[in-house]
Amino acid sequence: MSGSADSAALSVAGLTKRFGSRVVIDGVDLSVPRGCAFGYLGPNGAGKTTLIRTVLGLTRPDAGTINILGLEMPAGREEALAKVGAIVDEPRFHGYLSGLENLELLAAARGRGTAARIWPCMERVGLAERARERVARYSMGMRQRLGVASCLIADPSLLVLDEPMNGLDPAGMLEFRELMRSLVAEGRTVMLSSHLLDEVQRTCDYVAIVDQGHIVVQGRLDDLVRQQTASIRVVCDDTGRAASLLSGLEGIEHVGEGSGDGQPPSPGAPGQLVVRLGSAWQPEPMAAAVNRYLVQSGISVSGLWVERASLEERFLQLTSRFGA
Amino acid sequence: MAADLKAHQRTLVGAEILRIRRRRALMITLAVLGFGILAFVGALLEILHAANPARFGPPGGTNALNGFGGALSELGAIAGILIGAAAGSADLSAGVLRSIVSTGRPRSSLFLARVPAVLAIVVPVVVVTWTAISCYSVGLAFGNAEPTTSLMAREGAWALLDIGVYTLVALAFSAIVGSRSVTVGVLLGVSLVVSPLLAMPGWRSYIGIRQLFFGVSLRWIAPYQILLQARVHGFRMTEAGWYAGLVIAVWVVGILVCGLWRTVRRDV
Repeated sequence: MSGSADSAALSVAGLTKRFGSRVVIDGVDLSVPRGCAFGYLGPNGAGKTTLIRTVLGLTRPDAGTINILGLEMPAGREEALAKVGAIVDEPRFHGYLSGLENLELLAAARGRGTAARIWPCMERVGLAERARERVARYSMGMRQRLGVASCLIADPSLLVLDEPMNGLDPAGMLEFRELMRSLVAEGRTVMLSSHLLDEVQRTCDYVAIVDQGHIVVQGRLDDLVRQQTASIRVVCDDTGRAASLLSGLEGIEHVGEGSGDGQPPSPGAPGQLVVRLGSAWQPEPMAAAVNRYLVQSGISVSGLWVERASLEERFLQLTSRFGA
Repeated sequence: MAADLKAHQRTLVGAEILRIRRRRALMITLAVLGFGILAFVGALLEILHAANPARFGPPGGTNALNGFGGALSELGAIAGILIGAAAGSADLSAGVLRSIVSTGRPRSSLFLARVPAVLAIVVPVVVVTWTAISCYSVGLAFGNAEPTTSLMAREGAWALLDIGVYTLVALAFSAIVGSRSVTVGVLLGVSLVVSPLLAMPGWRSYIGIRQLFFGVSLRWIAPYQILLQARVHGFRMTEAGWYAGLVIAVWVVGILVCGLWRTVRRDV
């Protein structure tokens, strides 16, 4: 356990948190590898923010162990959190103070030369020009940036960001994604919770999906998505005949019309087919086989491509709210 | 290491002072309550005296010192309550406390930094105002009995104690309940209604029990009360005076400990 904890930026084991009789986190085991972007996903009320709050010592766990950057909590809390930057829930600041002054307050709490990093961090998140403006005048996106700056002044090895992309416009999201990737490239670990699955898929290397206080699945994002069955979309001149030919092939679970309206393919009608593969079958060789078989059977194929499941589909499949 | 911690704690205190000082409305209220109203009344009395000396006597003297001293302690206590309440719960209500706690800094040091910070804001105002009141009382006595240095020191010390106690109680109470408005409401009620009622001089029974309340004890050791006792006992602190001092000390330390405990234990 200690070996894996040392190699992880953050690890929790058996973590449990109750509010009254309600169990919000139920024996969670989680390991965030160092130097990666880690997405922490779950539907609303799944316990994402509570886990982050518990890890950061904002609320006490009822059971379990927490290890941050190789240090056990709560004994090593001060030393560990000195190297952690965190936004919990949403970045909150004193509205009557400027962005600069708010960071000065946080720098005072951190000490050890943190104040010297304020300006570089403001510049990095693109807020230097408005640093002396009152935060009350900041947009939501600017507050998010200031939140990230408040994390960066710690020169953190681990960033824990709770829904950091809320309120960002598309350009802001793109910038944010690039910022996250650059932080990971610097060797930092970024753990972000989000409900924006597409953004997580674009930003993160690892993910964990939490539902009703349990971790449903965790691992490399690519592996997770690959576990989902793939489909082959075929554009041909006779969807009815193609469907009947393909239905009997080994490795093919289902063949349906591409429009997705639930109607069976009509004989002699041109259009699209969606060929769903069994999970044990590699989609690329199967696509080649399907193409060859249809052409040899006299069907003209004008288009064919593999469609992989998105993280969103995997998420919906795994979480109780939609999975059933 | 110890020097590092001290320097860090000083930085925290400085940050707390910055946070309070930048609340413009609060600072204006402190200036008005702690100095402005008294300056206005003092100027008005002097103008009236200058305009009609026969009808309006000299504005200075011992009575002026007593009057202005009493007014400063009442108004200053209100200002102290407002500042203490803001300092005790502003981080929590603004949602900033969780960011500060997430830095790993012990919550106890965050709370303890607020104590010198609020005093650093309130005490200079009281000292400046009291110095002005003393100069006014002596300089504009014009034949009225001039206050002695010892009376000025006693009155000033009591005003400082009264305001300081209310400020610290507000700071701790605010940290306990986590609400500025509740703290202001409760402590204004204590300062302006409950304490004067419980300390009413005509109501002599159970004074020992009533003195367990810090507001009553503060009034018990007010200079006018000591003067009253001095007629009987000479200028000595009576047993009841020491008792009152002890009650105040226990209240201040006790409520600060409760505020500290709540800050450390609170879910944020």
